[in-house]
Amino acid sequence: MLETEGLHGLITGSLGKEIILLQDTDSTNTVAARLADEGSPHGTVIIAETQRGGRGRLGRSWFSTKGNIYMSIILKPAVKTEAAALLTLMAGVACVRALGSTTGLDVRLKWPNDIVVAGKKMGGILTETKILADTLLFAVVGIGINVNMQREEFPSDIQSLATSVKAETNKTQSLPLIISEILKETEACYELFRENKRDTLLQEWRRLSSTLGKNVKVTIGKDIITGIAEDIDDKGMLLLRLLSGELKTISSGDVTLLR
Amino acid sequence: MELDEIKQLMDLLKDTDVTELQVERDGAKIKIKREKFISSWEIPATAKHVTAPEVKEIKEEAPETRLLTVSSPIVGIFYRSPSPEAPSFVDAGSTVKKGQVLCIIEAMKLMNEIESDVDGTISKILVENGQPVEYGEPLFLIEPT
Repeated sequence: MLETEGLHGLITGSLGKEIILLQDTDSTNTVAARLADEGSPHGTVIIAETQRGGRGRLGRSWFSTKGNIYMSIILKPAVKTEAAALLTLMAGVACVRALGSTTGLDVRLKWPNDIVVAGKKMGGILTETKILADTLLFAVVGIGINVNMQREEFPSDIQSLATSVKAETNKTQSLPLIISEILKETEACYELFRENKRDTLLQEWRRLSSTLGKNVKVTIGKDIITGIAEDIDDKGMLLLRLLSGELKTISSGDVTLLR
Repeated sequence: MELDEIKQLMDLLKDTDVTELQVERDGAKIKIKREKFISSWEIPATAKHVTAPEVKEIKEEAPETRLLTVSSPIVGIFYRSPSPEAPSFVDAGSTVKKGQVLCIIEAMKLMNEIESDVDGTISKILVENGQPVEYGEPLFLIEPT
């Protein structure tokens, strides 16, 4: 399904000059992190047809079947550690733009970077970095998107929560086309991240968000807080307006939209 | 100097405001110190009294100064293991190598693996698993080897 030739023909930028295709892997992020550590250059991309140990946040398993996208991009930006969190918003914006243009769907971002269509999760991004003191050695952006998975293939308990491109469009999509578009958009958004045009990047995230202005519940470990997702700050953190009127900055947590 | 003479000196000071008297004669040196109306031979007592806490302080401080603090490079949530079911990266007493992952700080689905920059032993873990941490907050104390 994933033909190297077909994909390479579509790659135009510096991301994906080197693509490593795997039939099956535990996790593209783990492979990417190892390669980055061993000196693989910025822009190296690892793609797997299936992934056994795909992880969501905190190791939650990510349902992995053939026909979906499992990929990781190695990035080696020369930035301060604290800016790294913006990479994760950057990747979200890139994926949503790519999916929007290739599928025509109204694809949105749920803070920080869940890819959602009509409230259902279509994909997620998990970025891993390696930090030594204040230096960001590298970042690996792991992207998982449900593409050609049938609605019936989802485990029944998540059918109301998850979806795929095919489930929404009733069409089988070309994986190389979507992948190449993601790489193209990631490259464009990475320029915004790198050239200190971060306001533009944040503005683009706000435009594509499904979260802002909504009444939300945020689960942080054992704590649950509710409020209105008012905005994101310049580091991409969620600004939540509590009932008390207090504005709380959220760096981590699972957001659920309330009706 | 005879014991009687010393006694006389002490008695002499009793009803005065003088708190310290030093007498040097025939190569012998005597110092009488009065505190709070109590006259006493304080030289040995003072010496002991003063040096004791100093020694103690040094004892307490010495290991602290040899410990290195690993601080959080970002704001986020501190995790001691890669997933809830997985074993901790390190525990108190664990031996670590330079470059070994100590913990993950998660912020906005960015999993930051924090590495040790020295070889050593984990002396103390200062934050509980799942707790939010601030920029620069101390996470671990490591005793370098």
